Amino acid sequence: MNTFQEQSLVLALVCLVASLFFLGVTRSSRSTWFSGVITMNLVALAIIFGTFAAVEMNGERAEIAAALVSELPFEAVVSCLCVAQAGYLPLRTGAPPLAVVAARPKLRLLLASAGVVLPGAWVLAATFGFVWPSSAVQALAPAPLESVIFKWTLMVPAMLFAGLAAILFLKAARSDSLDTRLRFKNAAFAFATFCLALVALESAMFAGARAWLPGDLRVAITSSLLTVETCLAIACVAAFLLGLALRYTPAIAVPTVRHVATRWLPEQDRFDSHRWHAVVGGVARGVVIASYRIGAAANRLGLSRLETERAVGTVQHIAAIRNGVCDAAKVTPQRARDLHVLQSEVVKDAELISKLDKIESHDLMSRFGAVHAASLHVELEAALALMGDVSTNSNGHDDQPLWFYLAAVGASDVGLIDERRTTTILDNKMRHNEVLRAYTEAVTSSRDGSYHP
Amino acid sequence: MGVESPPSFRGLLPIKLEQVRRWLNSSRIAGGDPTASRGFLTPEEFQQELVVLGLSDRQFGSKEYASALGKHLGLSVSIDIVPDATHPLLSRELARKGVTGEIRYRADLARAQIIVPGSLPPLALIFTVLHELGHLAAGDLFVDTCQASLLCLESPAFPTLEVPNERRLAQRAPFAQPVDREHEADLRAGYAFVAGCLGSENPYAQRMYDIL
Repeated sequence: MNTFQEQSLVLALVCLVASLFFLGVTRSSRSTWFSGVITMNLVALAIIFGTFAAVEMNGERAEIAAALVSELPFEAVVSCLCVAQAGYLPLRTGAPPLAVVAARPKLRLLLASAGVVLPGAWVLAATFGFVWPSSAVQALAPAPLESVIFKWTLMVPAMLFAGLAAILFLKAARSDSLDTRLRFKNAAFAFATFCLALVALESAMFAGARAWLPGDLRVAITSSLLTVETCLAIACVAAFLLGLALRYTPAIAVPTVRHVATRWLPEQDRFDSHRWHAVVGGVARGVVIASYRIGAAANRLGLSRLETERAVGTVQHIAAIRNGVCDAAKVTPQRARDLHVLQSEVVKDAELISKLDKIESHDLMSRFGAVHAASLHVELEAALALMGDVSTNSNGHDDQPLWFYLAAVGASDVGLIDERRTTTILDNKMRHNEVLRAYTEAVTSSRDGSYHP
Repeated sequence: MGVESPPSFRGLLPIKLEQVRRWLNSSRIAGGDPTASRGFLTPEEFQQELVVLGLSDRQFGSKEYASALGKHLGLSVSIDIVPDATHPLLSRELARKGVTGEIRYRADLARAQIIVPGSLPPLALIFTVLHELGHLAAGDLFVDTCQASLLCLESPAFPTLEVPNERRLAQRAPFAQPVDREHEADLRAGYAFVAGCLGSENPYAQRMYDIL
């Protein structure tokens, strides 16, 4: 077994062991498209180097072919890394580019070009190698200049692209706002990619040493470089393994965010806007009168501001739904029920709803937050209940708060809901009478001008 | 409306790669993913826009978004909240027109003005401002719908109109149909709202650091 075969055997064993680890990763929940790429590469390399260890190469063109085949997985990994950083891999799931690349179109283009340049360099090297063959896989023997040109054509572009990818991963790892786990993940990938660049550099230096260094010095240097190559290969695989094992799960899931952004928010906005059109545009008659009377009655009942707002909001919701029946594209009872379901899903996500408060300090006029989101849900639920479109709590209306009774009385007063329905759904007669009395007094006061809110 | 000169080879490569990716996506989507089957803005694309504006990984409100967008487009963007108590007629007029806000653009002053009534419910107020900013980001204000001859069919379902790149933040040209433009402005507003609230905790921002 010559030195090249010994080195091939070592690399085959390294790749075999690493591929077993990566097979474990691909079968776990930590599997990603890249873990699959690495695993396939390692398996391919184990087979290639195992074959080289077992079979002695005869002839310079056979050596060129062997060198080309052994470099193919390496070039593939570097290409994949760069194209993924540019945001074009994996094709089928439409991954984003690396954050530090996204705003730099020229850099994206450069990274994406690795998908063309590296295979092009491989084809160029193959053409050159077969036209001017040389001993490409002899470990310690002197080599002609053709061997250097062949190797450098393969390795220099790969080294540059791998070096660039390593720098970008390092920049990503240094981002201030990044989670620690993601920081370590990117640092691990930076280290692994840097090792790839060093492997390419080592390979180029190896070819140069064989061509230009004399006798003993050549043997000493090339032997050292082979050891360095093995160490770099182990370090690279270990760093990739660490990076893939550091799985990051976001605190707020992607489907939740998508759901809020594309369904709940537009639907809530449509509903709120329609409510505003109905009230401000004067389309929903009676809402202003009812709101005024509810405010006065709430004062007599000693309700808090939030409770008063909920009673008024409920009446506005009923008016908007009633008004929307004329325009099915806007707000209908069915759409209101759908919105109610969406709200339920959002409101019960405490982690997410607490984040909505954060916009308050960043916006020039926003008062939107968890309390408001919850209020919208409660008001819509009350409106749907009063319209008979959704059932309320399991105990019926008996345990409903005073503001619910007040909203019912106010809505019935201006004809938004049927008065007979009000008496049916408000089970607690004592509470109903108390609210009715306060409301009637408010109406009377407003007529004789004695009430001043 | 200006017409773009044909892109150079360097400019063409990422477009072609994007087209290949979209073609592959659409062939997958035809199999049954209804949410992504249309050519509207995706959250991933929006996140890239935020990176360009320097707002990715950060909490922001509509004011910061407007400021960053204006800086990118070389415009002065102002948000005017009209106090309804002093201007009730304006609110009533907007309400009767069936809109909650307006964006007005003056090319000669390089200025865009968003007008919204202060009496809007909180969510609708923020959403309306972000919706109008979404039109600005998409380049919708620069669409010349009269010039039908400039229609280029990016896909049979959603035709687009050419608008120079420097007049929009969006990577893709605005839709030709007003209803599509409104829908995409809604999407942009929703994404902006959530991204502004979540900041660095936005999973779409984090995915840009977790590409492998």
